[in-house]
Amino acid sequence: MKSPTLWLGRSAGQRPGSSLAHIKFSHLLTGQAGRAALRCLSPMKTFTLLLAAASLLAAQLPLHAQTGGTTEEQSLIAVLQSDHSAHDKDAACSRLKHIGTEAAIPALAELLTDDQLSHSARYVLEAMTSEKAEQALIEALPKTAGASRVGIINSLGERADQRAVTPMAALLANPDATTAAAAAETLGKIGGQEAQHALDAVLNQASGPVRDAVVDALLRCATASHDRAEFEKMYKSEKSETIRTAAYRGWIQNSGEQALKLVIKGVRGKDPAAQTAALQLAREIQAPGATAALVKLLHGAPVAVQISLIDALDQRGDPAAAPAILALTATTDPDVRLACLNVLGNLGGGTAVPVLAKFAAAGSVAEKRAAREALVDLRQGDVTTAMLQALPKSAPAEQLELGRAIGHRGDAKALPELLKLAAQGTGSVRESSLQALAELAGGADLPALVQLVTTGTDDSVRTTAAGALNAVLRRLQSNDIKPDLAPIAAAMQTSSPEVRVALLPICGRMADEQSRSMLRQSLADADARVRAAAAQVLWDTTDPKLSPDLLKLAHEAGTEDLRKLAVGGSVRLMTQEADVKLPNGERIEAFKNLLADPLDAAEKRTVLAGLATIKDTAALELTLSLVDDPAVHKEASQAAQQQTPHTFKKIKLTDQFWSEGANFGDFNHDGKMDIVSGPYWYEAPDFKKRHEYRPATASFKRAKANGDTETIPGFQGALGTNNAYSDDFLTFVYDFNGDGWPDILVIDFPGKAARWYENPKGASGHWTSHLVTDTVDDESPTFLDINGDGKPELVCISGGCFGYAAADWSDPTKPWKFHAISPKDKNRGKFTHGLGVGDVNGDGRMDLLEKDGWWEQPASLENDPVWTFHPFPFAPGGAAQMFAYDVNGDGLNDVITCLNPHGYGLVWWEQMRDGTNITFKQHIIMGKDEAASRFGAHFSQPHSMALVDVDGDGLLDIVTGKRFWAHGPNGPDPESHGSPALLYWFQLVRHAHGQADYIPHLIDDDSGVGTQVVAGNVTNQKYPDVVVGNKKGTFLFTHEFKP
Amino acid sequence: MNKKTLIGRRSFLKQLGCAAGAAAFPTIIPASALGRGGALAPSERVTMGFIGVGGQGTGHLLGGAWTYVPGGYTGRKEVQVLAVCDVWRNRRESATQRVNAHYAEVYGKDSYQACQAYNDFRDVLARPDIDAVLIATPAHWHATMAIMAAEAGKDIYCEKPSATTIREAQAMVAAVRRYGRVYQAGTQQRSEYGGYFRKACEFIRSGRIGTLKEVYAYRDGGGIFWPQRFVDTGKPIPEGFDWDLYLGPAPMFPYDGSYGAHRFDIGELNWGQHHYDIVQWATGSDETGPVEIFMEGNRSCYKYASGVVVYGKAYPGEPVGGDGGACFVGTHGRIAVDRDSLVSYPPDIVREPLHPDEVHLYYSGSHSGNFLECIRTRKRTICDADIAYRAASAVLLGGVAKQVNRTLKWDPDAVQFVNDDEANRLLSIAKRAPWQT
Repeated sequence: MKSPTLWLGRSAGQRPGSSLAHIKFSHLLTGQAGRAALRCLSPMKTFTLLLAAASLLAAQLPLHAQTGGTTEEQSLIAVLQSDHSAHDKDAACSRLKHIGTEAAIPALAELLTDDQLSHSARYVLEAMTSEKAEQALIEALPKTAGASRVGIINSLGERADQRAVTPMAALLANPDATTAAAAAETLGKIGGQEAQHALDAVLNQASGPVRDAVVDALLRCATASHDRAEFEKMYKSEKSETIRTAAYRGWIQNSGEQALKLVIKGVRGKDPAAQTAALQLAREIQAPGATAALVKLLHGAPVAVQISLIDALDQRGDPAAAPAILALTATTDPDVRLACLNVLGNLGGGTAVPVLAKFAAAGSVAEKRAAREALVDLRQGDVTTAMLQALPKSAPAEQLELGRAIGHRGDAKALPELLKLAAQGTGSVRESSLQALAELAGGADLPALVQLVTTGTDDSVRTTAAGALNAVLRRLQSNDIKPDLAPIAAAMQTSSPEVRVALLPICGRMADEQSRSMLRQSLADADARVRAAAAQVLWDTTDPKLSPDLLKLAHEAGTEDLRKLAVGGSVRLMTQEADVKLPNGERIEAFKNLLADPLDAAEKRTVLAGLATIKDTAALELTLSLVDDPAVHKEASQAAQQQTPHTFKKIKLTDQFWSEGANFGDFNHDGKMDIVSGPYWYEAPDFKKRHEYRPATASFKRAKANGDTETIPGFQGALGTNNAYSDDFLTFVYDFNGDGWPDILVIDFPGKAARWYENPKGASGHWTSHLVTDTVDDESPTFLDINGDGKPELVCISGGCFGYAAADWSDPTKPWKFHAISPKDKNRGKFTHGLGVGDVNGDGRMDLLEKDGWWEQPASLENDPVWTFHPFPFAPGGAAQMFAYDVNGDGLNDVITCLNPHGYGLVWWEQMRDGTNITFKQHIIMGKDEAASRFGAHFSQPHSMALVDVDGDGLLDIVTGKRFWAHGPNGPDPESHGSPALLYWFQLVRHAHGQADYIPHLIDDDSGVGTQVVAGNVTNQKYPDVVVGNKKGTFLFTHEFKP
Repeated sequence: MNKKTLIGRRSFLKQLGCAAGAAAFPTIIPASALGRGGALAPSERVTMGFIGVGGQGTGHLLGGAWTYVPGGYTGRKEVQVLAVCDVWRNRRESATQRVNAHYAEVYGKDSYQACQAYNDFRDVLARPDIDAVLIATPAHWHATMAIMAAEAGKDIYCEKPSATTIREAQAMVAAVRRYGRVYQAGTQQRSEYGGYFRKACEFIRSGRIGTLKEVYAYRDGGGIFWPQRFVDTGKPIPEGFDWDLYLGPAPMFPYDGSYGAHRFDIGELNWGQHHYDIVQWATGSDETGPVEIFMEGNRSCYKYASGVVVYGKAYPGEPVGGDGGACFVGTHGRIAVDRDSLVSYPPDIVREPLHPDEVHLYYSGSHSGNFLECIRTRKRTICDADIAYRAASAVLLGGVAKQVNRTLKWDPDAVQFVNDDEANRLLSIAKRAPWQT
């Protein structure tokens, strides 16, 4: 007997009898004990540790060499007989259950009388086969009482040894009910005549739980000894329905040949106990004539019994019951009917077919379902033949059911007859046969199926036959079988036009060269009907290789209808079929060809719908060619808006309003660009963690639905209801002190200060702020190198003058000096709208743009000269950011600006030269109303703008949007509230002859802009992302390029 | 509500005109009584008691993802829950309240108190007006309670594991047979999950993967152990918790704060029966068991007399099967199945629907529905006591092998290990008085 003894390392120096309670399990985990424990799965760890503890206990005693078996046992016995703790003795018993022999029994017997440890001793003794164990348990009976004794009685029950009968019989009379009941149970488990007598003897005196135990024990005895008489007696004398059911059951089971009679009597009778037992055993009883007898019971039985019997017959699985059950389907009770239908699939055969077909065609919902399943399941005898014979004779609805069933059953033997029925039969016979054929026919049957088409007498016959043929071909294809299409090809060559028309749909779906050539031939067929059918098929096809044919059809179409079909089919095939992926170049070429032909408005719209899905500049060009066509202007503009592979994914960093601008920089030097807006910078790459770099104390209160108020952090913006402004209108990022860590420049509310905040290079806490200048006027100041000194300046209005504040770069913490470039004008102030910087005249020096004109930078800035003003009404209503850029590529810088940051209008002014005179011609990008916006994009209040190459084509595009709640939800500006807060980028597309278009592409419809919008490489190194801070929160739009 | 007597309990059948005669009526409720529109009167329902309303039990009682019926048994028109039993007072009271609130709403009453809460399951079993019980107690109670429920004349739904020792499993089957009760084991995979498991077994038994050679059951064997009783420290027993009744047949020891459903489990006693029920079904072993159990690595495995070897581990590289299932390897392919998937290699093996001449196994579309239907018709459930006994045994035999860590020969008819006294001792475990098998 092998036992896990590896852990029996012995440590010297332990005295026998010492308490081992100090051994901790951690100690056990080292060494051999631990290795053994760890070798087993962890769920067993506790158990194994128990064993380990026990054997280590043994090992601690200075006895013989450890080789397991008896020697170990001796140690354990010694533990039991010593004054070791109960814990140790219990552990020893755990081990003894595995290895204990008769040698251990005396020590264990002693423990039986110890109330604390009796269970531990039983743990071992109960399972030992030795009769000495039995003896020990029996001998302990008179020495124990209460729970200990009951436990011993139970253990004797588990052992089920006859020797315990006498003592148990004596205990039946014990005044303690638990003891007496336990003794009764044990007698029941032991069984045998003696036990039974003892139980019988007290039956009438006992009461309550003791009597229940005695009765149960008698049932057990009777079961073991197959005592029919005892069961009969108990059935007749006991009162409890539970017992009587058990007794009747036992009576039936031990009545040999009389069992069936008892079953019948029980089912038929009025006694629920007998009926329950009988119905249960009706399912299992093995007796000649059982099926017939049970069938007979069906008649006249109550509904509940009928259903139970039907079920029983199903469980018995004897098909001889089928006729009776079949007949019973005529019953009026719907539940019985359904029960019959449910079992006929198992028990029934061909004879059930007509009835089942009837129910499948015309029964209730549940009956239909059951009948259909049964028709598929029938398995007694030759069901296929029966169905085929029934088919022509049945009503049409039933024929269809039979056709379906024959198909589902998958019996190929039905094929010859089905083909015959399909060929010779008419109407529903033919249809049903074809339905079955569609599911059953294989490659070998194709010629026969084709023949059904060619010999068909009219169109509907041919079409249904072709439909079945098509279904078969599809099934074969989906199972990766390549069918032989020769019979179809032959039929196409030689048959009448009508047959060709019927077969053409098949050609369109096969997606192989043979079918395609058949289709192409048909397109040129002499017969107009064939040509039309071929065109129809082509129109429907999902085979990309037929795309050229479709296009050819569109080009050569004789009639308008045909052309419409062909154009629609072409577009669908090229752009709307999920499984068809043609390369962009091929598609664009195809679209070009389509558009080269004269198309009507509807066809153009179809083409535009297809073009819209091709996100490619070449496709965009085609779309643009249709924009000015008044009939399709709207569709073309919409298509153009969608035709870009550049999209943006929105990340909302916060819904709190802290700033109307935002920017980005790597503030923590981890190589990833972070976002800054308001007093927080948000840490890349998740932007979930934010750092407060300057005090963030703003908050406002708003009312909750239940009337309480709650405090919301930040300024009141979209989370509130009133108009409010932040202390942060624009943010710029620059390393002012040149220490390699980007700092943050914040422009406050117009007219207030600008400060830059010094990056603490990883240290925590607020960043030190340095005043740049006390007053920054104009709502769109900018921060770039205007004076060409290689360092950026803050360009704004101050003291009524345009100009720029420049730092002393030897100490940029000192307030910066303002250099005016214009004379003072009292009408210029903090709320002046419009400012930009760009080289208007192309002399290499940056000029300053404003709504009323541009200020030309002189050659020298020494002593801060006044710059020459060139008036031009760029934006009399006010502007925001303004730019000078060569939009149309003619070498002259144009001016890009909005016309009213609180109204409508986005334009580019094309620079024109009249000699040396510079003037500008307006081109509208977005006008006052939608009609004036060439591509349909339309929104008010473009209060900030950025110029950036979004799509990497080398041309700068515009990013702008609607400033959300510039004057709050109830502001006077058009579309202040209720219009979507849109954010767009306008793609610059240059055409020939100095023409240019800005194609709008929507970035988002629920954010908009603030007073600043920034685009740059935040997460994407190749293409710019867009960063927005406004009253709706802070947003990052990451660039996604999906060609 | 009317007090019910034993005989004539179903006297409503008279109203339906189903039977002539005056005296007693069968205890079978016809399906017709249950289908007629409108709410069913309480007297027409199967009356139930729920023993153990922890997570699993509450799910059965009131609904939850694993019980497959929204609203649980309480929500079923054909059931009337009369008793909720748990050794935690707050659990039983909360569940009872929810049950009564449901019925109050269904019957349009302001309050409804007919469902009662019990601490001691024996009080539930003693009620003559309860037809069936659902046992969702901790594992160490299952078989003991099921036996007592059978003796009390109840039909039984008992969660897995059906038993924690082989002898206990045998006693459970014997009691169910002795009293002719309907028993459903909580191994719902034979009924649920879109029929995947049944289909897999039908395909396998129809020979679609050729001759079955090996099974990879993902989990191996398990069993039960008693912990140390004599520990120095215990915690105060929480108020409203009956620690003694929680322990039941387990030995008494100081409360240690742990009262889970599987604290005495060894190995895969909790989940194993789900897997091995399917292994048994697929191999056609519902009436028998393994003949040899052996260890491979640290997993228990076994062989059937047919030669099929069952490994208690995953099929290498096959992800399907971990969730209650197995991978079956035959001479012509293999099939893997679990609660989410049924796949085969080659793939077309499982795509083709079952033909009439192939093996059709017991169809059940709902495990709880099957239980209730069988209570009415006395039909054998899909996972009856015999099947449960053998499936649990497959797990328990592995558990014994793990404990003795050697190859064992098993006689499934004599229900004994051959020539291994120590292993045979592990077929049972002594219970604390007065609880017995």
